Amino acid sequence: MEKRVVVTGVGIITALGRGLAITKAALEKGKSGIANIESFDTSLHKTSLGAEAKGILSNNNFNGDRASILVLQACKDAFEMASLSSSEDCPLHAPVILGTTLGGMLSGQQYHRDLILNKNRLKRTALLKDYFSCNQARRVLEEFGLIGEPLILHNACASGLSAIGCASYRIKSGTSNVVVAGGYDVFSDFTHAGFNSLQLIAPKLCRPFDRNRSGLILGEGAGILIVEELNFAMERGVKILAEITGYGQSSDAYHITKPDPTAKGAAGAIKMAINKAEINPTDIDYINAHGTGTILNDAMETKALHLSLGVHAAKIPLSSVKPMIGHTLGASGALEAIISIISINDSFAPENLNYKTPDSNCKLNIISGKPRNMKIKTVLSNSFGFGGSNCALVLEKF
Amino acid sequence: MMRDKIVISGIGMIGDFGAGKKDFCTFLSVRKSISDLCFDDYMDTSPLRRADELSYCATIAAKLALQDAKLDHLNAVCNKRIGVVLGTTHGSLAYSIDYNKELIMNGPAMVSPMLFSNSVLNAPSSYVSAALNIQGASITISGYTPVFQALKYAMDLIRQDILDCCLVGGVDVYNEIILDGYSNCIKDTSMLKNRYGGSGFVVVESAESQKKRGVVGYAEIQGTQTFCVSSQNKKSDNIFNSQHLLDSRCSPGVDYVLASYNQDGAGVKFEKYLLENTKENNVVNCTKIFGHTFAASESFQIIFGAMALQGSNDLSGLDASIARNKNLDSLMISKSFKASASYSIMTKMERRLEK
Repeated sequence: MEKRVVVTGVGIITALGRGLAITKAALEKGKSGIANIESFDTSLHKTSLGAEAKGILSNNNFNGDRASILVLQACKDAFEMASLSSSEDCPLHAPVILGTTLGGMLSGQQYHRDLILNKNRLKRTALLKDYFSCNQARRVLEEFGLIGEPLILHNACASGLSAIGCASYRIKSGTSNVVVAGGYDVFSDFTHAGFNSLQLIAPKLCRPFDRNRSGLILGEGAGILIVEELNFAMERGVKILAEITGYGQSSDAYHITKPDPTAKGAAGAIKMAINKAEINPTDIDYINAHGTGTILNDAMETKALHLSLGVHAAKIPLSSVKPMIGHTLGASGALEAIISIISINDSFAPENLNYKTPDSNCKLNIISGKPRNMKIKTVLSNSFGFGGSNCALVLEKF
Repeated sequence: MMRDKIVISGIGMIGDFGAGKKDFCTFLSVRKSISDLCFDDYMDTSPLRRADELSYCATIAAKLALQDAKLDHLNAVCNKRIGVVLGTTHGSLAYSIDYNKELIMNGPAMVSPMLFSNSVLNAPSSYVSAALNIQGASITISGYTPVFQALKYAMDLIRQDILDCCLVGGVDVYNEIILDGYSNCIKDTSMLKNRYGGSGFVVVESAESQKKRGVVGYAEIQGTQTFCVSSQNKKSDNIFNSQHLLDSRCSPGVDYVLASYNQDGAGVKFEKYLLENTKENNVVNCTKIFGHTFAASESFQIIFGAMALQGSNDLSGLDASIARNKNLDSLMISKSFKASASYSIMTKMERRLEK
């Protein structure tokens, strides 16, 4: 009999704040964490808005760079919620699988600056440790006394969801009973300038699926999930937050930054997730869309939903939370999976903030104006990334 | 349960030795400049015209592996059941620095969008997928033993019927920045700067698929495992001494160990462990053959093991002792570097180690 995969703990840090309760309250109020960027001077940048996780360094027990602190704080919350701990006498065997696009880029940038300016020769090499993403996973193993493998996945903006999918494979294969999985990325002028150079950043509002959408607004954060084998969790007597019943992934094999306009790859990933979950499109109560707010992505995602769900694509309530938390790149898939879990447990779907004008290329049942209170048993959550990476996850109420 | 058995059915590689199996076997004796290689000799490189050097290397090595596995003429339906899992330690570090240089020197309004998109770590695997029209999962793994981790991931994807076949590879190329970064922590930096790196790929698939397609396999992969070997992790010693090898499927008595280790604390511990658990202490240090080229040398190490188990001729250019031994049944391939130690056990096709 195939093993079942459940989530027993989550840790979430975004521009909305830290923790499940704060996030839930902000989602219910339709609050946005997007504001003027404070972490670097934007006077020479084309745009000046971002969703920074301000104040994460307060109440912090960990050392290290911003990426490590984000990850470790989110892990601490997830372990506490799952009532999991590890000790020398009774060590917990759990791989740490994290997705990120650029890892410890802030340390990397400092290293690059010192190298380019040829200074701090001895000190600068120490910065490389935090730059390499595997350090964040290794820190989790060390700080929480786990025995296991540090695994870092890079699937661009689908990295976080990739990590959750990989965790589900590990549980189903029987190689692990517990996996620490999630995604993270920090805000930096590196990515802000890069996305601006690609003309993908909205100057004012991020409004996914709206006819007047003009791009995304970057954010930062970390989302960590404790993923367990069902029987292992039941024996521990811990509360089960949701079950991961389906995961699908594919590649467009099309372009390094643009999504394939035929949406066949993305539709394939969604179909795979639905098939693995053994559900029909009519079973899906809510879609947490990737919804970046760019012209090409939102049109492609709409087409993918129509290809994979048929006529139901236009009926199922859908929203993107990126106008609230920004596009957090490698963290987004994990953060949106956690927000989907909030939707399941608290019976509401967040609104698609800033949505006003329907677009004939995005014929979907978009939740606008206010969050929708409704019973939610099954959620489909999508993530797509540069290079044509497509991932889809089905989460169900347990 | 035929899907339980995973085999290597194709190999491909590129580096300063040249490209392909014949050149690979002369690894120690022939040294070329990578600029001597004409990438167009191996494939139509037009899909790569905006790609970086890493993506060129990875795509050509992947193409050669697909050809070797007789998988290079598949239709679109089949391509959805093939994936790419690519390991790298540094990925596009050089491009990140070039991009950052533009950012610092010229300001954020002047940065190149192409440099930015090539600085994203999954760029090489995406180019492999796009250039070779591979539509299954395309994943990049970074770390200190990323190719072993890629192998494990690919095995999961095949065993759980997500894919039929998967290209598993490694890519890293030498640059001065890597030397700058490691000059304080690698004692013998000649291992770094005397080699270019490059890329190696293997095609892994279920034995069922390999037999159905009627192609020759190189080796069966019994399993692969990775551990964190941080000096702060007090359990590291226990991991090496008490962990059952690979889900108890194999005894530790393998014929040879193809190891790669440096002389830091974890490396010494790992070396000791290997020597204690190998028949006649047959340990070959692959770092001396392939140098320290991170995921590139890691992929070459795995390819070397697969060729040795198949009984390939002309391996004397890599290691004389392995080349003399034509009756290898089993190998452990291992790597210990910095925070990670990984190993994989492979056996000759159709052979199983004693429980």
